[in-house]
Amino acid sequence: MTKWVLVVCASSVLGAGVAAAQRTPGAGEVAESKPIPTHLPSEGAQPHTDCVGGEEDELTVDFVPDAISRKAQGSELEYHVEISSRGPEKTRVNYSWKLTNDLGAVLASGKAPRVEAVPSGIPLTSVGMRTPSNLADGFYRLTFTVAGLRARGAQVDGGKDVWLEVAGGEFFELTSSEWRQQSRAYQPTSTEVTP
Amino acid sequence: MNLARIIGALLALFILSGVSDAFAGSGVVRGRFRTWNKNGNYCPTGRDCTGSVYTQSQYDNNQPIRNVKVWVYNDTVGAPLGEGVTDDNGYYTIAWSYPGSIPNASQTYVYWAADHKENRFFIHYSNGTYPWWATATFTPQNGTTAGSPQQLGTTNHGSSAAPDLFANAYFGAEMEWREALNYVGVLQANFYWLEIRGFEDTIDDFLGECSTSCASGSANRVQLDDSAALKPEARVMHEMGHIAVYKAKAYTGGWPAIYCYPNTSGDGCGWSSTTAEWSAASFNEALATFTAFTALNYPDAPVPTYCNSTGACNDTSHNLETSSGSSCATDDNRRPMTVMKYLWDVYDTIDDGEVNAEGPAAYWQMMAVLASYGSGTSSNKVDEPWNSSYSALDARDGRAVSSYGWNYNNAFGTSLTDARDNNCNAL
Repeated sequence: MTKWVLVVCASSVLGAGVAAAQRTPGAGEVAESKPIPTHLPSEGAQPHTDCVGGEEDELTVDFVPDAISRKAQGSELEYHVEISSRGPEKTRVNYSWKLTNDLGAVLASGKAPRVEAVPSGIPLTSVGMRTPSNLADGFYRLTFTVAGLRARGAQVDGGKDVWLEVAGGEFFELTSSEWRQQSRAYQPTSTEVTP
Repeated sequence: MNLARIIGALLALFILSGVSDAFAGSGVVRGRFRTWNKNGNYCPTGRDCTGSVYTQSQYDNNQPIRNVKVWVYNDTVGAPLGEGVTDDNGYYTIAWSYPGSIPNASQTYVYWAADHKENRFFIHYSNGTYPWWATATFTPQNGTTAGSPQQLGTTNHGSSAAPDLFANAYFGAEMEWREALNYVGVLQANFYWLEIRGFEDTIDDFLGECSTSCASGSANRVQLDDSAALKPEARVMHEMGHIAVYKAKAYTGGWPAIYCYPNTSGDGCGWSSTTAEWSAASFNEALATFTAFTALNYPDAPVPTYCNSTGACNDTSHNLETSSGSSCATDDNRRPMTVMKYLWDVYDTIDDGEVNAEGPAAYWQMMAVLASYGSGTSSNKVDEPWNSSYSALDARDGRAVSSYGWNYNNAFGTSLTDARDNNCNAL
């Protein structure tokens, strides 16, 4: 039985970039050295001087890793999710989540038991998620989506992905880039013979 | 047959058959790449989708990867055996060659990287390297031709449960170029080598921190935040629109506190399509978004929409065709949504009480007009918000609807006043 290590907050989950850099390159990383034509350098020597942000999200989602629970068959990673609403109105939200592996197979999922109200400026924090306890070493994606409704039919929604690796008994939180570079996501999900 | 002729025939057979493969090989492969498309902002089934480029029939299923660079590759060789591009339907036909037997030939594959075929833009991981997508491995067949290529079939990536975010970003960016920016001559000339990186709120040594995505025209960069995927209209297409505005005519950005209306100082202010903003900001954001919703809609669309969403946009609160009118609430003339409706009214051919209808033939003018802005900081000039020494802003409502209309009339002899009057007399 795999012995899971409790290293959630300080080093693993929050220090995922370091963990990723120490890992043996996978197939995706090897291919990064492919000689794709060289691009011209960016024009500006001092970027960010006229950086313009996009429209602010009306609903934002933040994942807060809580703990790893040790079970007989392995460990589970628990999150709680904070849903925040921007603007003066309260928002009625409905949410769902799913855990997939790097080939897209759904391993677990869940949804809100009922529509909940998110007052403006006060995050909804009652949402909890827990990974299955028998995750093999590999790459996993936790996807959370939330749809909201406001007065006069105004439409808002939001979501967030958490990119996970389970390796050697530890959970690592990766960036989307790290996850995709190291996982099997470059592989085809299907091939149809007739072009 | 004498001995010499027999030896000669055997020698010819020897050269023409397998042994020749040991010294040189070539062929042609053909196939198709698709990705599971889960980008929002489509026109949903049941709505009047006349004039809509992107309808629900293209959503939540496999869609072609269009106009992207493709390579034939073998890891043991360590170099491309051939390269090409996909067409508008995602098909590629690539000639390959190798000066000898391909080592480990059965492990050859074709892959695409998120690199537009005309070098308009390319999409990178946050660390600056390429995401890529491969076929299954195969053994190249020597002697295949363009007329009779080796068929590799259609290769799909991603799924409904796990759509590939980078491939979906390419889908949106490619549509933005092909359906909008591509029609503007000044952008045909100037819009190249845009580097897009995602998906993180902060990417050091790129554009730094921008939690709602951002663009830098001077650096020719777009950064997509960690929630930017699958809502192309408000993110990748919108940010490419900012780059287009800059490429049409470079201007001095970085306007201090421009998003902090009604204040003239402050930091970290954001913006929303439905809140009042300084007009330089609301116009700049609306114009960037204009390139997005005109990529998604032709001018005869009766229900063009804009939203910051991964789904279809609501057709009541987000309908651009619902003109703001002349009976407006306080500050309606400062809201980016009002300016978006103004720009749509200038462009569209739907009769909704205003005479402006530039339509498809004059679409290019709506971006090219920017190139006609005079240099400097005085009224209607490209850097109007700044004071003459560029040390502070003295016209936060400058470089907006008013100056756009003035320059448009000056360049093309068409007054846009009617559309402006129909949209709260936007500033």
